[in-house]
Amino acid sequence: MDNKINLLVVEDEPFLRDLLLMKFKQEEIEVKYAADGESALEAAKENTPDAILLDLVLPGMSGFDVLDKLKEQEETKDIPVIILSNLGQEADIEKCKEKGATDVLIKAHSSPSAIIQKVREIIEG
Amino acid sequence: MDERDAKIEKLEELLKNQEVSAKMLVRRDLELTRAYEKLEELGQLKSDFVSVVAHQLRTPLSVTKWSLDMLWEISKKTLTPEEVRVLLRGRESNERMIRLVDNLLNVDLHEVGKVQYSFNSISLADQAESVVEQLMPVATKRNINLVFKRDGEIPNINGDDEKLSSVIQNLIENALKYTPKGGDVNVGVAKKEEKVVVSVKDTGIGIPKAEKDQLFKKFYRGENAIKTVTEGSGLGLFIAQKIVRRHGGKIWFESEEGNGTTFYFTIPLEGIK
Repeated sequence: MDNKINLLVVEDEPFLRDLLLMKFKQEEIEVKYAADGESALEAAKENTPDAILLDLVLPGMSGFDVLDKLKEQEETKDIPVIILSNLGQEADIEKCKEKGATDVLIKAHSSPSAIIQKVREIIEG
Repeated sequence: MDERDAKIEKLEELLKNQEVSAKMLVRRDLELTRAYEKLEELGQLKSDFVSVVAHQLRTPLSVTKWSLDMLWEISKKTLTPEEVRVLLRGRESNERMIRLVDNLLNVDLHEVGKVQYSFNSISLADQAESVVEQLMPVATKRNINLVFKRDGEIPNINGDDEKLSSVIQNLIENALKYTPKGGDVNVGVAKKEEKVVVSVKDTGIGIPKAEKDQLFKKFYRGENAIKTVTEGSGLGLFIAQKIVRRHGGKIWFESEEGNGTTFYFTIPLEGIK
């Protein structure tokens, strides 16, 4: 049986995304990624990941809207969404939590190891 | 008849003057409203500017942070001491920039009154003790004797734990920064009348008398402070004062140049909600 964690990373900044993918690979975590909201929603429906790491500032549809859609859709509403963004003001954090995000991490405050730890905590309980 | 005419004339003149004054008042009111709107617009523009710049800075700072963190994890066991030193200096500078951006955003939020507070019953003594424990490695590294003292039973206050912790942390970090090696930093919490008093006493460089009124101003740094430690944004105490005042408390210091400083802040037991 495959117990590997399966993640979806939604990040439009290619270098940050590559760094995260590299780190997840080292930790043997399966990752799919999307660079915008629309493809994120498709990938979430298709793959049903164990968790989604979602940026808020994305080209086109914003991360807030993606979060709304994820929580509306039957197939994706129970997937834990961890916001990973640099919009870290209290009002933004509050808004994300109200919309159903499991946690909010600020990129500039979180090392890749801390992000992985948080992902594991949320998925493995 | 002449007298009556003169009175009427006088009355007409008065009415005319009144009309002119009323018109002037209306015009002044309009001008003031426009100036106020302009100021509000400028304030909003400044907030937007700070917010955009800060967020734009955070992305490259995150890229640097993540790269350095990953490099450190991959290679820390194989690097020479010189390489370790270089990498750690890079990380320190990066963290410093991140803190600066955080402070810039915080200052702006405090100024426009958009900071959200979450008030709960909390123990300032426990908070201070935990911040002291957290900063103990910094004190040890600088060979400074950092001591915490709880003066008797201290009742809880109504406050925002994260924000008050950041005030205590700022005061202790400042004390550690401006106290020479071998010095002392004493952190105390006591109940005095209907308040809880937190004090941070150091044996550091002190604050020159001439600068006493400037210290809580935004971006201000003491002349001797700049000479001792070049790094510093001059925003920490400004933010600390805003937070303490929001809790209905006061913050002040006693100091003599060359002979150390004691910072105090109080939070009333009947806190603000």
